[in-house]
Amino acid sequence: MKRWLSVLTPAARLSVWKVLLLSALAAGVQVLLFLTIPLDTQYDTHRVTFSLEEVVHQGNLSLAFSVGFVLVCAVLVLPGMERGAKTGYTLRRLAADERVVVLLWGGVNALLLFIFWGIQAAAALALSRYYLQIMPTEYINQQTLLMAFSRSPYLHALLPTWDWGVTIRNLLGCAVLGLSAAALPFHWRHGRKAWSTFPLVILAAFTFPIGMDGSDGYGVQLIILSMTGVLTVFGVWRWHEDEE
Amino acid sequence: MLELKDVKKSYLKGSKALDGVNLSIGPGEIVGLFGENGAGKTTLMKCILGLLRYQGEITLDGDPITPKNIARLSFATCEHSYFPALTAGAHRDFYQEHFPNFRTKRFSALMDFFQLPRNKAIRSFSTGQKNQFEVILALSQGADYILMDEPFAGNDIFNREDFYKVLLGILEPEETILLSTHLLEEVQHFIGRAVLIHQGKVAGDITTLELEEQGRGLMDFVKETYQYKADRVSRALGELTDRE
Repeated sequence: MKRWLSVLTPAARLSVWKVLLLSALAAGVQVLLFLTIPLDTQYDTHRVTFSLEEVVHQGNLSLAFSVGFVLVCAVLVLPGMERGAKTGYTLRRLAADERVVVLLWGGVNALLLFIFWGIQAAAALALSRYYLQIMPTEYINQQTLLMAFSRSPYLHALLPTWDWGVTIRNLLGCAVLGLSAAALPFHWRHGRKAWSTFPLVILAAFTFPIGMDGSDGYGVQLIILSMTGVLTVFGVWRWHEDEE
Repeated sequence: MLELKDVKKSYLKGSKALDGVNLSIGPGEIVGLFGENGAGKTTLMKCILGLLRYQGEITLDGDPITPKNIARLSFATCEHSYFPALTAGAHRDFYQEHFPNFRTKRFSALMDFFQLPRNKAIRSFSTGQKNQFEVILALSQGADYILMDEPFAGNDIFNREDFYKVLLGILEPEETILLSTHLLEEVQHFIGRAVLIHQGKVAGDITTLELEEQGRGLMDFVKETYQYKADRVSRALGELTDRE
């Protein structure tokens, strides 16, 4: 068991602190964006107060999430790439099957994506709490938070709570993207050009905000993720030898 | 005994890299592998290590080379196979975990001898230091057969001399070296046997003892085997001068 875990050391040493740093940065940018949006405005003689979901939407918080997500995926791909050395020569000389090593790295990657998601969700909750504290009591009630996380596609995707469909999509997304980020350098190490990770990451990052009714292609996302996951595992297991 | 029987390797482009190589290397031998660029030296080593698919048979004490016995082979390559982001200390831990016969004492002694830092990432090393570290890993892995492919490319003459002396001093009787290099004259007193590869075939195979008995130097043997025409440079220059 220890031997298997030690295989993860090279990737973990490179990616963990970078993912944590990017997670903190993405959360920090979201806080800044949130604070730059005025919470109310004067319209003729009326004072209009923005709801939490309106502030989140106007602040483009989901954009910070998407950019951070893409960067995290890039960080996860990098440890397996052969930059400055043919690390694949060493990986292929281990008693541990390289294909299993790829799957294990995929698991670590999935966990790191899950952590990124968790930190962004924690930031969103903290901002919501801040919003509730500074808003006059006549504009908020016990339902404000609940309504915001149901109406805002971004907040709902971050904390789907009872919406199991979105929760499954998020978890599956972490797993498939984590695996894909480990499989891409594996194929490159073996001289095969594999590019599917790039459109998948972009697609996942920018379709992350999703409404409660699932009208934003929730089903299509699940199908794409499931098929990609199966094809990625098959690709790693089938094409483990050099082709030249 | 490392045995290669009728080993052939063709690349997808159709070029024959190895064309029926037969070779036996016994325990304790120090074998120099020589040949012009593209002769097939690197391909031969990669086939032995299972990094490339091939036709024919390669066995180690009668068994095919699989993940079960791959730890009996180590590899130092000018392409480098270490993890650039890891420190020397982290490599030691990693190798100890994956190679049960890892020679910790030898690793420490060689690190001290070459004054390599233990706590700096290998990517920050100079080219010479990187080569030294690559060879240190191969020598410390605890392998019976140590394959080296141009390991000293980029190191100065003093550095290389030091290494040959250290190598001769530390090798145990059962350890075998297969060293691919263009530095014939430098290694001729260090090796016990010379194997010449030409166009994917073994063009010559002789021990240095036989050479001594015949009163020939290694360079003479190589020139004879390759039917080197000593006057080809002067003829070429003459033709060029006439044209001008």
